[in-house]
Amino acid sequence: MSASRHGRMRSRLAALAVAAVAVTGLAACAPGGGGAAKPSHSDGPVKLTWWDYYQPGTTASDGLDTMIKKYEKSHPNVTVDRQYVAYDQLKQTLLQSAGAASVPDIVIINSPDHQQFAETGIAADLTKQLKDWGQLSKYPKGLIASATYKGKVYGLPITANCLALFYDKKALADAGLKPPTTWDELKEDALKLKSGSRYGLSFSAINNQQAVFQWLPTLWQAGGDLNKLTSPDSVRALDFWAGLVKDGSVSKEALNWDQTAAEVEFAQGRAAMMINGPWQIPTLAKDAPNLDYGVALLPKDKESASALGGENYLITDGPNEQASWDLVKWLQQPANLEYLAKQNGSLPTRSDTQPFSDSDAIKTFTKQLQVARPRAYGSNYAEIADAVVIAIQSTISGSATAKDALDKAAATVKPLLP
Amino acid sequence: MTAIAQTRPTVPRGTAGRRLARRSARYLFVAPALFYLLLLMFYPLAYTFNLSVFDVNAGNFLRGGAAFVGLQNYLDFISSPDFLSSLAITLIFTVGSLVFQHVIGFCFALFFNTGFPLSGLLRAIMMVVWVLPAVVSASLWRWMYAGSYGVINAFLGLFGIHTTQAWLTDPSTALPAVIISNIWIGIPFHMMLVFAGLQTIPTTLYEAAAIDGASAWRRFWSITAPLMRPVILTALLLGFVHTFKVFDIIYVMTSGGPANATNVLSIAVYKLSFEYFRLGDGAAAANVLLVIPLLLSIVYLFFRRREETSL
Repeated sequence: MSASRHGRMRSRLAALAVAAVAVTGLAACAPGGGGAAKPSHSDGPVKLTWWDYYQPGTTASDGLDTMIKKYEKSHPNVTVDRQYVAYDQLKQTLLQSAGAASVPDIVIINSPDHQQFAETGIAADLTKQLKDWGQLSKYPKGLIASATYKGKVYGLPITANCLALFYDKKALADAGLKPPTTWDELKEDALKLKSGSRYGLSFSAINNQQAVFQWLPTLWQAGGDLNKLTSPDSVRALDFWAGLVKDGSVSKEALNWDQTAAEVEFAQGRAAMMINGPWQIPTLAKDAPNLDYGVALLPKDKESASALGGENYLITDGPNEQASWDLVKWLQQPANLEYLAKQNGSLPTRSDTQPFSDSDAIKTFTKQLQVARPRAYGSNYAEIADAVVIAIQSTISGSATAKDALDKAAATVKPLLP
Repeated sequence: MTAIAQTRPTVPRGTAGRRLARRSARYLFVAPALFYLLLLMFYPLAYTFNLSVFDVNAGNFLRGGAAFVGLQNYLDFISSPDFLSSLAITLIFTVGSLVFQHVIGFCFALFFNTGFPLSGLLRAIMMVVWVLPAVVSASLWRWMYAGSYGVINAFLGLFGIHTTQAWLTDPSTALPAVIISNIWIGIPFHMMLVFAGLQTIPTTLYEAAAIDGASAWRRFWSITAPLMRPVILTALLLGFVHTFKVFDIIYVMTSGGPANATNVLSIAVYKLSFEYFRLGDGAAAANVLLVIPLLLSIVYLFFRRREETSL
């Protein structure tokens, strides 16, 4: 190889290096900052993009389609492009599309995720609009709290729910039992109801947030809370839950059941009772039309409690903020809201609506709602919930004692709480 | 290279402009490959690295203003209590899967190499496992492992072992269960690589050995094994890199549970970035996940080069 060749090689390498530096140069700045443009309202035709995770073909999804079509008819300048995004991909997809500055205008999100999204800056601050609207007082405080971040409100609820105890009337009658009202009764009854391939109770202790949602009522009933996981009350709450599995009243597979799977066990007669929410009522009607079931308040310990769940509308901070708010406002009109609540199996989200007023199950749920508490643990809830799930799962599976598991979880959770 | 250098003086020298055109033509030829590398390989890597040295989270990802933290995210991840257990789980998962995938795949390849009737068809059918989307296979296995209605417990029942063991929800059996599923998925890949390698060994070698009276065992260790060494190494390396970052199978079967028993590094990275929105920490963790297969690849290339030069 000649000297000149060496030189050429060097210059080529230099060119490569320059190109490389140019590319790194593009990236060598603090990431982020590519936020959305500020709102600029116009009266021309508006196309709104809408995301939700209501599976196509379900009554909830059909209900939304009906309402959106109705709105488009009465507002000819607005078209709504509704897209389905699977629940477990929604958060990730939303964040990625925000990074690419192409977020949808309206998103339906699970209420405990709302604060996290408010923190990202994707969500539009609706505090002023809500004040002008003047109807916020008609909504239960807990529901609004889930959409509130640092004193500002970033959305409105579409559905509300809480957990209660479903029971198979025939199974209980055969065993000569009434629905349990205390922990002791629940423990005894669940054991008595176990027969053959049927377990006494089903709940979800799966490896995601649903398990925490399901366990929180027990934790609160005992007088514990996520900010005092090491307290004897919290330990007792976890021991009680794990004890139900150890007794054989609940199948070990609860560790792999989401709330839908817990419902399937109950619908198929493989569990005599289940802890679940009102959204299962339309599903049960479809899965087990002949099952005669009742709904009772969750058994209490020191106090009664349930977990408040639901979904919220989130409007993104962008040029279509006003048009989106108009649509959400329209959907909040009592008649429209009642229709959607029926389609969704939702409890009333406004004091002036009364869907399913004739159903005993909904009456019980509405009563249960009064002691239901929101999961308002700040924007780190997802990570807090994961630490708690590990504690729940390791206790139920017997790989750790409730105390050790909760001590470990508390160490993770403490710095994450607001 | 030398050939070009020798012919160079015979190329007629033109004007400066022509020389420039000739020179830029050279760069134009490299441009597509360079562009591809920079855009699709280098840029994401640089971006991830950049992300990993800032404290990027939900609050400042879009708004900007993340603080520069140097290598703190890396230190935090490596010193977090779950890192060592995740690393151990990942290594057990990878090595456990790889050893069995390769040995079983090798046996199948030897078997198919005998060329019995319909062997081509059967080989093609085996590939279906590899072609199936991971989500499908994982859902299938998840269902098979179920305690009360799973087909595996039903099968064990045939032999008088009656159990309702829920394989995936018991922390002591979840990892072995996931490994077994992954072995099943990976066998065809190793079988195909080994099979292709076996085809390149001339049959005359075996014939000569047979004439010399070498047993089948001897023929395997003295002909097949040494000649297959590069193929084995390649298959193991590719398998390692692929298995080390497996995400979908575990995510579908256990999502890292129960109680973190199958929490491999890729799941930890996913959770950091897309569930907790701690993108800086997630990027650092992703780079840690990248380093181990990368080191192994370098070791592999080093050995390959030494082997080639020794030939």
